Amino acid sequence: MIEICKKEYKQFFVSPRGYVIVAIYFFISSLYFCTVNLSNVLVELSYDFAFQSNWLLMFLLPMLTMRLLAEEKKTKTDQLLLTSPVSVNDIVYGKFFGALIVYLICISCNALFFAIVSTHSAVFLWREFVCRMLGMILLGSAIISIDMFISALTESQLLAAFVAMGVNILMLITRSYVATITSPVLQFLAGLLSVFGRFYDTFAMGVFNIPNAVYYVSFTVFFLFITAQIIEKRRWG
Amino acid sequence: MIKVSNLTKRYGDKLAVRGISFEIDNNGVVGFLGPNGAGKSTTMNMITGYISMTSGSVTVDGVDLLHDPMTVKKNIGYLPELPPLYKDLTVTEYLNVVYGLKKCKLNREEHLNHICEEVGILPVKDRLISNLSKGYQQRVGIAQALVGDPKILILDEPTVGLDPSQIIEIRNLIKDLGKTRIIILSTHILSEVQLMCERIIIISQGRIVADDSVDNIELVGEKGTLVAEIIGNTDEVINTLEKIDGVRKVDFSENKYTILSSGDLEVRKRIFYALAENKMPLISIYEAKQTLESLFIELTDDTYADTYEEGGEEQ
Repeated sequence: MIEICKKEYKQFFVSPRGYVIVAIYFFISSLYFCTVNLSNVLVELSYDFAFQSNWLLMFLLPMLTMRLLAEEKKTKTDQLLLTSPVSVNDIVYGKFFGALIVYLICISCNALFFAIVSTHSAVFLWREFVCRMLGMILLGSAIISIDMFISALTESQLLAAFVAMGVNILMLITRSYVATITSPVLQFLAGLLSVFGRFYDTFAMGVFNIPNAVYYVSFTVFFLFITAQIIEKRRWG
Repeated sequence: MIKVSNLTKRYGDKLAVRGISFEIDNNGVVGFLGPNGAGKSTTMNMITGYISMTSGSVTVDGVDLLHDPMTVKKNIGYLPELPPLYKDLTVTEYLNVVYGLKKCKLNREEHLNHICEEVGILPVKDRLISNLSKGYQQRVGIAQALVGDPKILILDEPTVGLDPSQIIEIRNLIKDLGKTRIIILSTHILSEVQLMCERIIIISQGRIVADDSVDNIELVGEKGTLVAEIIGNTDEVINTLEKIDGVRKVDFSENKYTILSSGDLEVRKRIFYALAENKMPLISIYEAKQTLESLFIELTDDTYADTYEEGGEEQ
């Protein structure tokens, strides 16, 4: 698994892809930080996290995941992986962590923002910051896992990226509708889809919510599991 | 060492591979022949564990592929039809990735350097794979299969895309490698098989239609068939020939006479003298030997595959 993780990480940074994704993330989130926090002398970072989780993740994470499985299938390099002494789970988890590391580099910019606001304020809100960062990692894992699952379904990177963005938008807007649904069953099901909303309502505010953390971990494991099943099924097809 | 029994692959209604069985115990190169779509690649993909079989089993050193895939996969090096290359990496980076994937325990630098030297890619080892010519990419593919020093090598058309001198180099390399391990080689080039392989397995429509040593397969042509070029009136020549003791039948086609006889030296002598007496000059005479090409075409013919199976069931 570590070998595959290393390989994925390396492949992000032998091409401009990894650098471009990290650069876009840094640039846009810094721009937001300057406009909202620095211009308005605002110590509270919740707006930044809400913005990043809602807008940057939705569009940038599909860029990160679209290649992971679609490309291997198209160039037949999956033949190397599947005939090597590694299990399908190793492949799926290795790829997942490879992408997660790049994502962690992206969100590391928040540490800088936190350092800047902390040096200029009397309060040191480290607990809230840690909560938000943990929330970002959990949310990112969940989105990477479902987007990677979409990448496993096709050979076309472009299609994988567009479908993943569509699914991400769906998961984002669900939050606005959950409250308006009257049927409890449908409301529960819609709640399961509301991936972004759970972060927005709890972690972004600096609150560590255990049910939501459990939700994110289960969501991630579930999609990694069915991704592995998709690969296995193709071998048995 | 490797035993394949009753390997079958079904895609929906279509049987791509129908009960292939063979066993290879000794080191050497085994040719795996068959027309396009015969199921060669499917069989190789099943042996290497890339796709799974509908039924049947593959065992290496007594270990079943399905029970312990990790051990079996460690012992098999595979070069698929399209080399599985990460083209955005350099040759060295790529081989290091493969080294990790194969969970290789040998000294990393020494082992990889040795492989690069063997397949002749040392001069390009720091270049990006995407910038290499097809011939070099193919060699990197072979290098990849050699990582971890597997006991069994499975090569799917390894000389495709190479220039003539590279082909000779790679053939020699494969021959050398075959001295210390089992190599299963799939190819369309029949002369390649004659040059490199000790044993040939021919498959057609998902079944094995021949499995024997190269020498045996070449000799299966009908014994005693002579082909002669003779000057003279065709009817008279046939008449003369048919009177000779030991000649069973004479056919004439394409300016050549095909003579079915016992084929021994005495008959040939009698043919020579009889023709000389009748002033019919004998230009050439030789024993017809079935070529691998004609055998291949005959064996992979649809009707033959069916009769072979029926015969096989009777046994």
